[in-house]
Amino acid sequence: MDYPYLTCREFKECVERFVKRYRSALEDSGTRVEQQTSSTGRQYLVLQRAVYTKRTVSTPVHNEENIEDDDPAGPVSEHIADDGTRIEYHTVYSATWRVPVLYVRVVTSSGEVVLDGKRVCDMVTEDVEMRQAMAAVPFGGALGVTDHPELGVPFLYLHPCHTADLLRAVVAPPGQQEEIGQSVGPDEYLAAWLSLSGAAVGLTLPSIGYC
Amino acid sequence: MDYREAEQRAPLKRVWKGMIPIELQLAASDAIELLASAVLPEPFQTFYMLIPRVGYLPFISGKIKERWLDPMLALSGSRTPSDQIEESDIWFEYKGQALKWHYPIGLLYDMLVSDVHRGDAELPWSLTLHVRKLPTAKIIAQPNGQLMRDMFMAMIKEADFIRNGSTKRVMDLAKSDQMQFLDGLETHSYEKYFAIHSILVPTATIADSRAPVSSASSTASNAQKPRGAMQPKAIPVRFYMQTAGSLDDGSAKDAQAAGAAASTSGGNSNSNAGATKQADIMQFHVSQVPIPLYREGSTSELATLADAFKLCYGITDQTNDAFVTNCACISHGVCVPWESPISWLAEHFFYADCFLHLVVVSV
Repeated sequence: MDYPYLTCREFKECVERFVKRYRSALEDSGTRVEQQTSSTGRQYLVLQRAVYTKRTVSTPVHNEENIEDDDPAGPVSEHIADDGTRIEYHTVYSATWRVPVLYVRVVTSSGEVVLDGKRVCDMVTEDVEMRQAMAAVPFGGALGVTDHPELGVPFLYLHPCHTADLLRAVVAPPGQQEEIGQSVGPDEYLAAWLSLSGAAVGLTLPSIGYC
Repeated sequence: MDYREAEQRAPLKRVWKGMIPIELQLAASDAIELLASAVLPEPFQTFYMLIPRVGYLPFISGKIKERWLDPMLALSGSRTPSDQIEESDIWFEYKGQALKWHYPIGLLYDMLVSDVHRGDAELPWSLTLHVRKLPTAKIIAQPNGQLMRDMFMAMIKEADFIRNGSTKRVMDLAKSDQMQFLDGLETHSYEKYFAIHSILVPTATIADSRAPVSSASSTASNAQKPRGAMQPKAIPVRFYMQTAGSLDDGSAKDAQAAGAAASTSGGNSNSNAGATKQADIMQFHVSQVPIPLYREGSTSELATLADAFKLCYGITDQTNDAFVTNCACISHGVCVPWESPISWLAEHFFYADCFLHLVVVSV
C-alpha cells in the first residue's frame, strides 16, 4: 500500500475489512451500514443515521397566586428528538485524489433533500470552531456540492484536497509506530480516515475491542 | 506572437469561440402563474440567444432575465414585480429533462441532442425555461453565479492536482488573477481567461505536433516527444458514456460491461445501433481517471483517445479495438478520431475547467 494513497482494489479491501470490524458496533449505536456496489462494479460504503434535532420545550405553569403574571411559561428544557430526519454518509473512492471522498446528504421526514452546506453543518457539526474553519475554506467552504459519482444525483461532499496530508500527519503507516504509537493498514485505514473526515459532518465511530 | 504560435493556438481559439444558438420558451405553468396566461404576449413568445459552448447556464440566466423576462413582465402589464424571479429560480429543460447546470453548455448539447456525431443535430437548440419548482432531486438547487464559480474552481483545483500532483498553482493565484480568470469565463473573454490559464497550465510546447487525422495511419507512435519544461503527470479526462437504464435507480446495465460490449465486434451499448432514441442524461455513466501522456511501459509512444477509453473502462485486452467501429467520441460538437493523441487534445480541446469532456455514443 502506498500510504496514504490507495488503489481502487485496496479501497475495496479496506471497505470490506471496515464493515467486518465495525458493522456490529455501528448498528448497536443506531447507524445503518451498507456496502454498495455501483453499476460499474465499484464498491462504496454507506452509513446512515438519524439526525436528532434540539427542541426547546417550556412547561406552562398554572399558579393562582401569579394570575396577573403576563408570562405563564414555566421552566424551559431542551430535548433531542428523532423527527425522521436522516443523514447519509457515502464513502466513495476517487481515482483523481487516490483517497476516499466523503459524500453527505440529509433527507428530512417530508422527503426534502438538504444540500445547503451551512444548514447541514448547523445540524450535525457540534464544534463551533470546526464550523467556522469549514466555512473559511476558499471557494465556498469545506463542503461543496456536486453529483454523486456513482448515483449521478446531487450530494454534498468534503473537499478532498488535504485528506492525504491529514492522514500522513495524524496516523503513521506500519514501520513508524514507535514515533506515533499507532499503526494503520487495510484493517484500520477507513476507520482512521472516517475519524478525520467524519468529525466535520457529525460522524463519530464507536470504539471496538481489539483482538 | 509569431505565426507558429498563432497557428498552434488556432484550434484552441475556435474551440473557445464555439457557440450554440438556443431558442427558449417559457414553461406554460410558469407563464400562467406570472401572466395569468399560457400564451405569452408577442414578441416575447420565443427568445433567441447565442451561448458559448465552454460557458455555463447560470452565467446566462442574468441576461435572459434582463432581456426577456423583465421586459415581458413589465410590458405585459403583469402585476408581478420582476424581482419575484430570482436568477437562482431559473432552470432549463430539454425534452422533459432538467439540464445539469454545472455541466458546460457544449457538453450538455453533445450528450442530449441526437445525431451530433453525424453533423445533423438540432439547431437552434430548443429549450424550455422554468422559473419555479426546480427539481432538487435531479439537479443541484440554487443555481447562481457564486455557486457556479465555486464549483468551477473546485474543478480547476482537481485538474491542477491531476496535472501537477498538487493544487499549489491554483491556491497560489493572486486574488486579482482569480477574479480575472472567473471574469473571463463569465464574460466569455478569450484574452482575460487565457492570460490566467497560461499561469495555471504553462504551454507545454509539443513542437511540430499535428492535428489528428481520421485516416487509419496513426501517427501516435511517431509523434515527437513534447518539448518544454512542463510535462503534466496526467491529463484530466472525463468520459460520458451512454448506457441503458438509469444510474440512480440502479437499473443501469453494468457500465463496465457496456464498455466491454462496445469493444466487441457487432456489440454496442445501446439496443439499436444508429437509432436516434432520445438520450437521457441519467443514463450517462461518468468515468474520470487521470490519463498518462504515454502508453503504459513506454516513454515515447503517446497515449491515444482509444487508450484513455480502455483505461477508464478497464478494457485490458490491448488488441480489442472494436469499440472504435461501434462508438463515436464527441467533444465540442466534433467527432474526435480515436487515434488522437491525448496530449494534443489536452492542449487544444479542453473546456474552461481544464478537463477534456468526452461523450461516447453508439453509431
